[in-house]
Amino acid sequence: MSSSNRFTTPNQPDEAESLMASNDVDLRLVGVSKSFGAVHALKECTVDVRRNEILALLGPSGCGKSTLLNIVAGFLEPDAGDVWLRGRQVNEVPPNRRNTGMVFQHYALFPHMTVRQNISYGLHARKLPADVIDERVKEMMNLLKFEGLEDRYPEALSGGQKQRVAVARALAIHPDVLLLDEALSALDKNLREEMQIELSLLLRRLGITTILVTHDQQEAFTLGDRIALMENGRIIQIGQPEDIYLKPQSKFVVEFMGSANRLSGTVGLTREGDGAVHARCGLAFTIPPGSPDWSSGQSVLAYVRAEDLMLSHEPTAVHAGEPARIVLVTFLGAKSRFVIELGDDQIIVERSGGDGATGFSEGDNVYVSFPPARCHVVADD
Amino acid sequence: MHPWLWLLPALALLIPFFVMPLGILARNSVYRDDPTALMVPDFTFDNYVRMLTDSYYLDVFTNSLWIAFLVGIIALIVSYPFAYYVVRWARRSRKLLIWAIYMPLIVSVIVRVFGWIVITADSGLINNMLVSIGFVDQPLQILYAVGGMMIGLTHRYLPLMVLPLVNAISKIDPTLLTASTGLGAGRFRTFALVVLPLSLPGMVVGFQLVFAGVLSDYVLPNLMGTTRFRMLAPAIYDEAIGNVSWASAASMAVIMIIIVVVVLLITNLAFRRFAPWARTL
Repeated sequence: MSSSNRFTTPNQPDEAESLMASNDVDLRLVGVSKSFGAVHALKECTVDVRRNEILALLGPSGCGKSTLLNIVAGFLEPDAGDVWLRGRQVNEVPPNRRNTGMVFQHYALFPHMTVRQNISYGLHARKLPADVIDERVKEMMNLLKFEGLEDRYPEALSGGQKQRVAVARALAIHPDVLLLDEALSALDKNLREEMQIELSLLLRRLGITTILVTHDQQEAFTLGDRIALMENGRIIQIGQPEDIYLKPQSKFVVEFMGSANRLSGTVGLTREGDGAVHARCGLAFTIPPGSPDWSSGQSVLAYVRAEDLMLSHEPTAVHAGEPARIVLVTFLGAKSRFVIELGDDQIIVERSGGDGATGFSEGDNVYVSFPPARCHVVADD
Repeated sequence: MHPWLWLLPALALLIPFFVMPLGILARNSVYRDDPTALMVPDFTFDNYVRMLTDSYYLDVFTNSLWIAFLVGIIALIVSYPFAYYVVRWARRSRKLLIWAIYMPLIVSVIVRVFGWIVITADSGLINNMLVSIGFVDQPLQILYAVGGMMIGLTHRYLPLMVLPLVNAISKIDPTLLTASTGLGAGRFRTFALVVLPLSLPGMVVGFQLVFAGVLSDYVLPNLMGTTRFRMLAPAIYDEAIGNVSWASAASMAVIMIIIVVVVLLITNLAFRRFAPWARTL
């Protein structure tokens, strides 16, 4: 195929530009597909991961993100498409000859080997000289802060320590790409958040190209430079965390990104002649700029996040008709949550402590508003 | 109700019919055999001294130890690939294969020995075939020789090796093999450094069971072996019934028990020493 020229004949002058572009791409997937029997686990996934970049594959279970990771590692063969590692097409290269380091969900530490033996396993497999191995193990011990545990067996380690050994074992081989497969999900919540920060700092300091698979949005946002959101074997949207969060491009993305209110309605016109959404619950608002063109009368879904909604005692531009009624107020620490009933819909509003949370209580009649730009309108199909 | 009462049925059986006879055996072993009477009460270690100095008895012990050791090793070599296949590859055939391994435990050992006799006799299946293809002129002496006895013993104790191995190998997390490959190890390296060490618990248990079984086996040396190569259990029988020397037969039995206990202890200690991780598996 044409793209192979780009890598195998670098001295052609007209290829120079694309070569430069590919030089800082550590991993390139082109049209990768994979089926298990009748199940299409991956459908034509194409993505570049740049050097030193951390890409988070985020999606619900069964979306194909682990399959993608296993194809990169070579544990699975793609049915179609190409995998390029550091400018080399590796489709036919077995996993033990690819230089990838994988951290598994349950660590997969060798129970019959000490911490030191676990970390040096990949180095011995590469037949490195003993002094290099010793040096590398020390470096890893130092990096992940577990000196003194060298001669322990995995069963004598805590969850967090096992996690560190698993990361050290994968990093010790100085992999081209580090692969984290739900690597933190076996830890309990507090430790997991600690490790997310620690790992994020470590990976940035080392500048190591990483692909991370997770179903946890916070983990993806903490670690990922870019997020690839996956659904049903496809990469739905790829971009920086802010882009994914603020500019979701589909219903799935908004809903997966959590706590958004969903308002169904139809497209109409404002008095000024702009496109507007008339929600069934009685709210009406202009369609935010940058949305695709909608035709009048089309059914749409509008999503507004709980934190973007504001409450007031007076009618607002968005909410001019019948007031809504607060049915539940919940104190959540940093913020308060209001459940309000508007027509047949239930809407959730979250306000942080000092920020307009006071002055509203259960039973109050209120009006809601939100900046139109914070609303995401998608076709209702 | 005191929890200890749960042990009552087992103790009611074991104390009168196992522990007490063992005590009697130990007592008999220090009695003196009398040519004119059955046994004379005494307290002497003469029997033990004779067992450990007389070349006839020494041969019996070394023969049995050797055969028990060899059959243990052969059973391990035969069983391991089988167990590995059953765990890693067998899908629909898995139940059938496991059942085939249990089968010998269900069929009487005597029936199985007669099967082997038909196969290994001078005019049996193997020799007929070898002679008819001209591989040998005279039938090979398989039955009533050490070789035939070892075939029978290996077959008899094979399940005791396969089952612990299947158990140990199926406990190995397949992700470990993936991890090993991902770290750059090839198939052979992964097997030698991950699979094999992690099946060690099954190998040790299997070897211990086969070793203890072979050392005390009476039927197979008797029906398939030869009197020119004495084995322990038949020798004890001959000592007691043939020579009417109950005291020295008792001392042979006690030594046999001690050998088994010592071998189990040594293998356990060695295992704990070289595989300290295995305690937690």
